[in-house]
Amino acid sequence: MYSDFADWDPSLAFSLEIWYLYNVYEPLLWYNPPGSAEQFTPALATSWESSADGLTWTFHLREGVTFHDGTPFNAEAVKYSIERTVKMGGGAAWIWGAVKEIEVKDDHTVVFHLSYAAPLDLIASSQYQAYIFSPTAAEKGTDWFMEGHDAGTGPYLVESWEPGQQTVLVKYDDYWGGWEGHHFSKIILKTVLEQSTQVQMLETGEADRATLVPIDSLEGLRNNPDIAVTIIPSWMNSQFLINVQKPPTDDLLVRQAICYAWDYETVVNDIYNGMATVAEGIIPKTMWGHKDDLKLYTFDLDKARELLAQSRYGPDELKIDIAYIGTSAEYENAALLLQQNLAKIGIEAELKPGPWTTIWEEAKNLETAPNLQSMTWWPTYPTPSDWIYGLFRTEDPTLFNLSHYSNPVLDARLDEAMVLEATDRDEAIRLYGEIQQMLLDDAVAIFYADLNGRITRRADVVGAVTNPAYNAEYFYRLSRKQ
Amino acid sequence: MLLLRYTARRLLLMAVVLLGISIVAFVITHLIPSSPAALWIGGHATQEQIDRINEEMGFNKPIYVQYLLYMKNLLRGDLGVSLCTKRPVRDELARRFSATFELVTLSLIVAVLVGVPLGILSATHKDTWGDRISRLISISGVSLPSFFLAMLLQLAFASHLHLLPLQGRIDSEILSEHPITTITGLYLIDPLLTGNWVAFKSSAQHLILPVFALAFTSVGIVTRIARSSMVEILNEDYIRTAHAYGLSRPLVEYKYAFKNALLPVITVLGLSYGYMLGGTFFIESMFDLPGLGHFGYNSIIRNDFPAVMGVTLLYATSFILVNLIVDLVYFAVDPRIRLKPKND
Repeated sequence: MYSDFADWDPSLAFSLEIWYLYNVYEPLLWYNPPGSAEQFTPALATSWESSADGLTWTFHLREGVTFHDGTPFNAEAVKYSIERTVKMGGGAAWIWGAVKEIEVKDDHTVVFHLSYAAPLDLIASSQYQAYIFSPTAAEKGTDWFMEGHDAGTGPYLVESWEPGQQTVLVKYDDYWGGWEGHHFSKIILKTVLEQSTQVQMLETGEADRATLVPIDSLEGLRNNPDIAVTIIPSWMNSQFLINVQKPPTDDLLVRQAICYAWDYETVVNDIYNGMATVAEGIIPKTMWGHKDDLKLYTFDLDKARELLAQSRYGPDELKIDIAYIGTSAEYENAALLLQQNLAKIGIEAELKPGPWTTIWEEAKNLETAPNLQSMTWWPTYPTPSDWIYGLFRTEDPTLFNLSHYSNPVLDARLDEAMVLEATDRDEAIRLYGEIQQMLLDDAVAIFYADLNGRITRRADVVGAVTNPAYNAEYFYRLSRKQ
Repeated sequence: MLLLRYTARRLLLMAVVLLGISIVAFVITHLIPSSPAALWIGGHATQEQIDRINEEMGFNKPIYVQYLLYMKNLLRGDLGVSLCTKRPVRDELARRFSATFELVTLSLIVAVLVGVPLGILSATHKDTWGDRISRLISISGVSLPSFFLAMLLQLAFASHLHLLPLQGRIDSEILSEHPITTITGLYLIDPLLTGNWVAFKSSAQHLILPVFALAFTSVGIVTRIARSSMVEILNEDYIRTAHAYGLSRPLVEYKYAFKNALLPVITVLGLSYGYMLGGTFFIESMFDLPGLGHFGYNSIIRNDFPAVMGVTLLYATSFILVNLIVDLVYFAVDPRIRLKPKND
């Protein structure tokens, strides 16, 4: 772990905390990796159904489950957990926005009544803010959680937390899944800030898993027989958002020219060293709803020059600035390559690296925003709408729509598709496809990389199943090779 | 009496200096464009959440209003809440204080116990091989950046030779199986008080490399100053007179010259303390020691301004106090200052 956990309240915890949330708590459903036969694995809910209009969702709950503090799990706990999360409004609590009322039909049946149709099965499998916790424990409040206590049903519970140093998880003996076969009984999550230290710990065997191994260390690690490096698909992707309101990128022709000046293959193969694949639009290729036959940009400097010649901006007006997170070698090298290629077609690019907190603030305001802004995105729960809603929906004030793009047609299609996800998924997919092409045609960003994740572990730790829906490891599945 | 007046004046001056530091630090952290609300919420915050937090925590008030509120709370002992860890800054500082205190105190002790003898012996055995070697050590100490030295030590002693631990305050398994009961928070003292030998041994092992890395620069400085001060003293007339009178060499050198040579060393120790405080940012981060430096580093790169203010003011206060103590020690040991009062 490159940093310690800050939030211990499952209603609020939102970032690195996924590492313990995923193992200590459980949601109603788990989302399965793309390509699986079934879309979901039952977790705390064993079956579910929805009404035809998508407004009523009924979940049948698993019996014989207890929370780590001994409280029995039932429908009341589900209602309590979700209502508390929504009321506190932290993290991704907005995912429950469609829920009007939660009804406890009996101890093991809970019914959600929605004010508008929404895909509650997808929402209930979200990696944040969808966990069910013990009401008796949660009554003690956020401060109790912040001491390092947990109130989950998952296979592991929190034995101890030494702030700034480590968190120790131990196996929960009464876990409903049982402990047949080989499992780890204790997991120590250590806070190690420096990447080089993490690599050294992995090499000496002091650590079984490292979460922040830099790309340039991978070659060396691959050659070590005691270490296994697995490249896994993820739903993270990177793009450079193009400011559609700032000259000269307010001219569509200039934006398109920039998209043709990006060397897609070189960036992915040489700069990302194979840790990414060329993106096809805004939605990663592995996410449901991705349209396969989109009309994309290619690396074509001649085409770029052609478009620029027709633009309303003359050669000495073609100056742009590119902002990105300075500490990322990948962003920097990609930006440098772009700068070179842009120079060949007559665009002068100024590079502006900086820390995220600063460049984000500047990019939000049109007066200080750059022409190009680096962005890496991933969804909260498995839906294509997350990217479109988060990055391209009309926003005032601007939060993450750093292209400053406002397209009422897109907004309308998006709203329609989000509702249809619940009732007519095929139609929703068709609409998302239209939106993906719209974004490409308007050249609102250089969509350049679907990122791969990587698992760097000791070779004798086996059992990992990769799932892009959850940015952490599910320890229950792991064991030491015998 | 004189001493009291002097101390009172210095403490007043300290308050003024801290006020100035607080203004500078506050202005810098608030002028850097950043979103404290988004930092608080984490992940992909929504506009409603950001607006709500800005309201609740007063981030949209004008900067001078925020500053006055901060100072008002400060005088009541409330240092605000860390945006990254969500805990009161005062609690964070208290919790992390012991790790840094242990590291810095040990480093100072090492700097004195190694630097002073090395410098003094260097001077008394000037231009011998011993002298040359010690001068080499002291130059390396002053010129090697501490974080670079830390990396070299980790690579050599931990990764390749497997002699010492790579990072951390204590071994993970030992911390989990032989937990340390917190009495002082010092991982060297508490285990001793409770008879937890396993934990004591592990903590001690884990401190060797960080202390070496942090102390090395100061050892270099102290050695140089001790040596040059001693050399100068040894050339003084009264020393020559003492030799002429037939007093034995060890007596002259180690009783008379030594005590006088120490004066500049004391001053330099006070300044070294400041270097060490600065060094904690790197050393604690490289070795994952959960102290004030590590906390300060993380807070600065994320612009967690309550935490940055807290660490800055705490470090500034302790540096000023240490130097005040150094000056008072001067009064105590140097009769010339004591008996000839300056005009106020």
